[in-house]
Amino acid sequence: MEVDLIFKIAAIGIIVSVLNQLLIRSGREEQGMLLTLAGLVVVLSMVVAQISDLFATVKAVFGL
Amino acid sequence: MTAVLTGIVGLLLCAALLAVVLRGQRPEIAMVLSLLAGILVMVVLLEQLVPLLRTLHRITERGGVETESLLVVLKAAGISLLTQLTADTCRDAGENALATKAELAGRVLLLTLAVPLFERILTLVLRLVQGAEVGG
Repeated sequence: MEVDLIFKIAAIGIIVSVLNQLLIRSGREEQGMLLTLAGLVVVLSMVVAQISDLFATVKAVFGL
Repeated sequence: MTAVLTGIVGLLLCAALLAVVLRGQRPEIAMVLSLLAGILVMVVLLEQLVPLLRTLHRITERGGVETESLLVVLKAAGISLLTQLTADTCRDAGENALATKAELAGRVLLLTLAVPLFERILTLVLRLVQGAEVGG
């Protein structure tokens, strides 16, 4: 079981929110927005492999 | 068995805690996190399910029932699982309309899966009725 993936995503979320606040405080809202987007893309790219894994397993088990 | 259950419980509790922490600041990452936790648990459970399904296949073959019907039931179960996962994720993200659409898609696919079986029952009933008319 890849539990560490959950912790990784949580860590990315916390880091992104801290950096976002930092950027907003220093008056760079648009860069904060880009940072949020980048964090989301990184997290999604980690999850996509798992989703395809789930689909493959469901296909194999239930014969879809 | 107990190890699997303990692992799942630990994973889900950790994921729930982290999602609650993240939801205030980054709801989108919290959503991805809960989706990932659900997927990981589902994969583990499906791997546990494989021996059971094999036994089910064997029993069905021994009982003389066609395995085709069992296959349809299993496919329906798979579609339902995926639909439920999608709908729950959408609902957690606050998109009730999208969740309803996912459920609708699942129902449509299930119906198209069940139509051949229904047709078979219908032809059987028709044959029985016609036989009764001829016989009576």
